Amino acid sequence: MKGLFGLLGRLWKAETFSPTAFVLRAIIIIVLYCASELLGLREYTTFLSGTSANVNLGWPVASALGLIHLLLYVAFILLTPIFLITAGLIAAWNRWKGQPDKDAQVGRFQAETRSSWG
Amino acid sequence: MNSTFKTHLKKAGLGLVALALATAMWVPCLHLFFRKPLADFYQEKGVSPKAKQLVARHLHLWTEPRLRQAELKKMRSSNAEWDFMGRSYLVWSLVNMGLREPETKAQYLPIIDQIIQETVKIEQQEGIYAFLMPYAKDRPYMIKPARSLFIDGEIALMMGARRMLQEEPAYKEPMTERLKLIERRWRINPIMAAESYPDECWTFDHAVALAAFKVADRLDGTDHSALCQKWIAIAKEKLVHKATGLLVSSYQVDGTPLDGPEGSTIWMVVHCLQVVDESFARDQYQKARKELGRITLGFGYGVEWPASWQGPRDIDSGAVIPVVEVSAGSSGMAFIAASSFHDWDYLQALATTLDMAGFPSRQDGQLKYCASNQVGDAAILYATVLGPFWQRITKP
Repeated sequence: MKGLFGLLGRLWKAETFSPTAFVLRAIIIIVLYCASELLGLREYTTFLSGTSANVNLGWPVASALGLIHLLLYVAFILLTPIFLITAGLIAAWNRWKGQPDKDAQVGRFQAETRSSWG
Repeated sequence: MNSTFKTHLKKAGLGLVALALATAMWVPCLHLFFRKPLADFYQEKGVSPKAKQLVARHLHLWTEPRLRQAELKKMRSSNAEWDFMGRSYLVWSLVNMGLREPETKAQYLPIIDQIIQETVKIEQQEGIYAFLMPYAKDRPYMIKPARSLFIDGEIALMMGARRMLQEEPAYKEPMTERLKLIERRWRINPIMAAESYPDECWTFDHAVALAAFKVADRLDGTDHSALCQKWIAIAKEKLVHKATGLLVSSYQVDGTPLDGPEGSTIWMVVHCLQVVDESFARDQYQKARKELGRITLGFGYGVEWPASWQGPRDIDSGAVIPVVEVSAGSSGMAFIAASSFHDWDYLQALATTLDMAGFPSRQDGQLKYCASNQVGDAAILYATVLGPFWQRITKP
């Protein structure tokens, strides 16, 4: 658990345009989209046809839930791959230029230090 | 400018360039993840896998009253018409499926009869308003007694379709009666317009009625070809939007246009006109395809209005995505037209969009599109199986 929080912390502190930051953004989208799927918000996308998924909930709430799922889905199919490709491109560029990702380096150093102490 | 700031700026520039490159790489490839062989959606012979999954869901709805009521309640809270049209599209679909696979007739006929009889019963008990939007009661119909061509035309075509699959004498008289009523109304009006709503005539409903006349001619040996050709001639003269050459979607009893060419209307109109005047229908399809059909980055869709007409969005348009103007209603109906005119590239592109943006949900071999509703799914189902019914009408 500590390792997971450490990883999340590192990801969170990553530089805005580093490969790690783009991977983090992709992970956040995947998690949010999976949560939306598990909560059953997919059903609420029926608002696109002008129909309410749940007449008891009322049109504004039902369509807002549908819109949330729609936006997360668009982010999942569009932004997640784009962010991952971006991360790959920057990492490749850095490697070619001999400038490894600092965030990844710090992570590796911490992991190595922990394992040598542990 | 200090060196730290310069480094940050450089990294930001690199990040943005990489982001732009990644976008340029991914976006054109996206459709490849949703594109399936056309045979998955439509087959010239037999029934496609998608049609089988869609029909399984509809049959489940019609054999589970509780489920059906829940589904209809959702739709009726938005539009009572959809309840009615969902029935029509399902009947027409089942007839096509029965003609494609005669061994399934025995399974479909009881459902078809159940739908027709229940629909007629509701109409008899609650009147035409049971399947119309509330504004139908805001003012009286111009032509008395009040009748809706929307209801009469689709019920007549449902009965005709059922009889085409297997003759049922019980439907002959009521079908003929409805068609006589329509004919009488058309003949007393110089522009052959009958109302669907008070002083509101829809090209969609006239096209459905024309197809029903053709079915009657085939089944009962009547001849309505002069009547149908006269309607086409009047439509060409009075109901064509000059800038696009497309038929307008709605007009008043005296022929004054209300709405211009509308995607959610014209695609179905061209499908019905196919059995009345094939060359006119094809010409209208090609114009509609040019004005309202789009394929962008491998995804097909329909817009509701042509560029030359700024119309209000109505309930049939469904959600319209700004900027690209994608209309759920127009896109759904475009399947029917693309399938009718064997426009395979467009049909495949539409099916790609459906799998991407329709939010398909599969359970126990049943398929529904969450972004759609029962009528939307029934219209899609119809697009996956149409053909044999129309061929029966037109074959020499």
